[in-house]
Amino acid sequence: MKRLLAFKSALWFVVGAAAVIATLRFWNGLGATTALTDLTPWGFWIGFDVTGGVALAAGGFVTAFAVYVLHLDRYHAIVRPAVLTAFLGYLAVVVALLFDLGLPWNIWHMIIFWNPKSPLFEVGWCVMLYTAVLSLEFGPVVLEPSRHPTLQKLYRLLKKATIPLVILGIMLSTLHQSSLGSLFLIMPHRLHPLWYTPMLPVLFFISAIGLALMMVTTESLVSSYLYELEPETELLQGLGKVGAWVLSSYALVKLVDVALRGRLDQLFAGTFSSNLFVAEMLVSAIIPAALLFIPAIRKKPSGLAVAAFLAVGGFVLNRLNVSGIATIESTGTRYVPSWMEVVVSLGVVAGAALVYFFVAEHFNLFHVGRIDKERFRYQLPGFDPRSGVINADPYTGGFASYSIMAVLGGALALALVPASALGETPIPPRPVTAPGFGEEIIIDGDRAAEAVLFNHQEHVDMEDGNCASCHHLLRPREQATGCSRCHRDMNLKTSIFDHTLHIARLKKGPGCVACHSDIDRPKDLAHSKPCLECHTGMIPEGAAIRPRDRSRLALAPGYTTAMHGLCIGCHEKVSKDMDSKVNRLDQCATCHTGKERALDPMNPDVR
Amino acid sequence: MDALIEFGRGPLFRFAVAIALLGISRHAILSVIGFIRLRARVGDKRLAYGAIALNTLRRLNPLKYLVSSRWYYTVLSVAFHVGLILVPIFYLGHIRLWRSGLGFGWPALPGPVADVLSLITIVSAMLLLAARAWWKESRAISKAQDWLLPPLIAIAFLSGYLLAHPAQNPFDFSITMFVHVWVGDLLLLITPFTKIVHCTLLPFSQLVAEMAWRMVPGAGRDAVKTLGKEGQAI
Repeated sequence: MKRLLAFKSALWFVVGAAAVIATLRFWNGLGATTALTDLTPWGFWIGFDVTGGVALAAGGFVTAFAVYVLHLDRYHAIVRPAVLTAFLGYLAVVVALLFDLGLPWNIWHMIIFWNPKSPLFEVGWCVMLYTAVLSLEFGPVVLEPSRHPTLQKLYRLLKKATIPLVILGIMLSTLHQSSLGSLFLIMPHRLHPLWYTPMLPVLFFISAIGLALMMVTTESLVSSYLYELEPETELLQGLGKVGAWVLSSYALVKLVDVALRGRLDQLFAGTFSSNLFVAEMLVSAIIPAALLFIPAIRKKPSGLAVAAFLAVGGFVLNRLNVSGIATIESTGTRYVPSWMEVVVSLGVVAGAALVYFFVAEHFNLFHVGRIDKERFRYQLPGFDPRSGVINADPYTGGFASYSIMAVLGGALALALVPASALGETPIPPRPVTAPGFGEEIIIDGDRAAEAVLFNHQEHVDMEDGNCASCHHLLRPREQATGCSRCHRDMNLKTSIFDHTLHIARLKKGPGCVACHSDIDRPKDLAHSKPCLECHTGMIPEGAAIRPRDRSRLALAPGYTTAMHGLCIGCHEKVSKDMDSKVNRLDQCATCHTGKERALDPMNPDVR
Repeated sequence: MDALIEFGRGPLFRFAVAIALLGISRHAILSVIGFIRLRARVGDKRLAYGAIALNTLRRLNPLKYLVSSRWYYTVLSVAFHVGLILVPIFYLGHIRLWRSGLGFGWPALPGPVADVLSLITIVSAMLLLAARAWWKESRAISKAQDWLLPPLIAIAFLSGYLLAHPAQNPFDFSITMFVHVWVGDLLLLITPFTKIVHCTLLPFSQLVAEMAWRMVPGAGRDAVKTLGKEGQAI
């Protein structure tokens, strides 16, 4: 059972990493952990987890339909795993949706606030109801071993309700598998013409059936490989045969649709999108169908596995394309999912897989009784030198190994996350360009937003020609330092302290102790000599400039903050001394008239 | 060198902290699970939890060991642990790093107190190591980690002390910082895998010992013999 131990360890590793990233996503928001933007609000989570996840979980209703409606009883053995996969798939969709929603705590809104015209409303209700139906369909597996009379009663009740539940499940699945396609009907200008078609709902439904057959095959082959059970090749080749017909029908419908819409020329245009479309068609339907039509390949587990893996991968790519990648050309966006989005998605899948294994090991999932626990004993009771834990129970030994993998995964994720994911989203830098010089100057620091016409001469006259009232004197003998010399960014603080320059000037004199007077204290701003002790003339007496911390001037606040601080402070003061009816000096619109044309960023010298 | 120091203070530090915190939490969770499973197997499930908690606290009182034959171990060990716990958490420089990373901090120890505690930890670590090497009985029960941990801790504290007192540091600043950061990270990384983890498992030590007394020695072997399943998996 080494392969099971290794596989489960890898899953725990991913779950640990995803748990850390998920915590950061809820702590610091979507902006900190994803590459989503206003232009691309639906990214990897919607494409892979939601639209892909719903399709991957279609095995439940397809298998139930085959067994309970068509009475193909030989497939009975794969109903339980298929229903469990579907149930876990839908739970994974719901969990993943919580990560993607900006206000996840409002997920219940669709229950109360109805919008029957929205396909998303229908999808939401269907997914919610179908998840409930699947839990009832799967309930008997969990209740079966219980001896409690009430639970036994519930078990018998659910067994009796199997057929109505199956019918309800098929109905709901048919509705929302196609409605997921309808979602994209409202974006003809966004989706690439090769993918956009009024047939989207039909294509989504047919592909869900094809994917269901391939997913049940994949899940059965992986389970038998990991648990060292005999593969159900005979059953699976039956699924493969039906799958070949469904996949080829899907490919045919899709190609005929492209031809009827007159888009065949775009199919071989050689662009990124056309190549992607062809690759998707080949991997999802054409190659797997061709493989499954050959009986020799269909009869071998390896042949089935190759075809099923290709189809599953291809259909996941299809859902990613429709919900995101195929919109790149029209939107011009360059969305590439951040690795943190991918890790969270993989973590959700890994978590679902671990629950699947738990059920397989504790309940009669494969209709062969519980998996023989003795076969996957991880170690004898005793001291585990790897984990340093004394285990009274061999199965805790397994957990000890898995949990250490989760710890490693979580730690690695925390080490690799960018600084932006750990704090607030950084404010992008917006450098300031100095205004021109003259009697009247247009102040427009970032050459894009509001411009203010500033009558400089009027202010010079008011201050009797004393420049130092408003200006710093940064350097010796300087009369008026321009604002943007220190306040170099619109919003961010700028470090104006030049350490190298100070070392060069002071090394021949007192040395480091000139500023770091106490050599035993940390060498930082808080423990160094205040700037104004040496630069005594930097802020002259009576100046309107009022730094928040006069002793520490190494960090100049953003241009907007500095200008507002200087102008508003003075205006408010002057305004109080004047008749408020005639002046409006303390109001924003006095300076920000909205009439001044902002400077053209491309031609800053043209006014 | 600067890049290595930044790596040690950035990604490697985050990795080490996560390994240390998640790793010791994992030990605590496994201990609770192990305890619950153990409790399910013993006949007498009644446990005097209050008395056990009191006993655990009583064992932390160093004064009662001062009259033993190895009283110097007690003195050295207490001296060693006080600095070891207080200085990394309450040193001003460390708190400022936390504040810049997390946005919050906590009150710091006065500089001279941190200095004295650091020196005491360094000296007591060396003396504990010397005592371990001196006595035959101590040598006999020592493992590799017992020899390696005290010097590593002493190096971390000595480099830290020298960084805080640049005038007394005979070595290059960058090299001292590199040693301090990387040895600190290493200590955090090995925390869940070495005996340092006793900081978390301490509350369970008395509980597990109390439970162990309720297990009949050799009970498992006897059961296997009775069932006739010797040499088979149980």
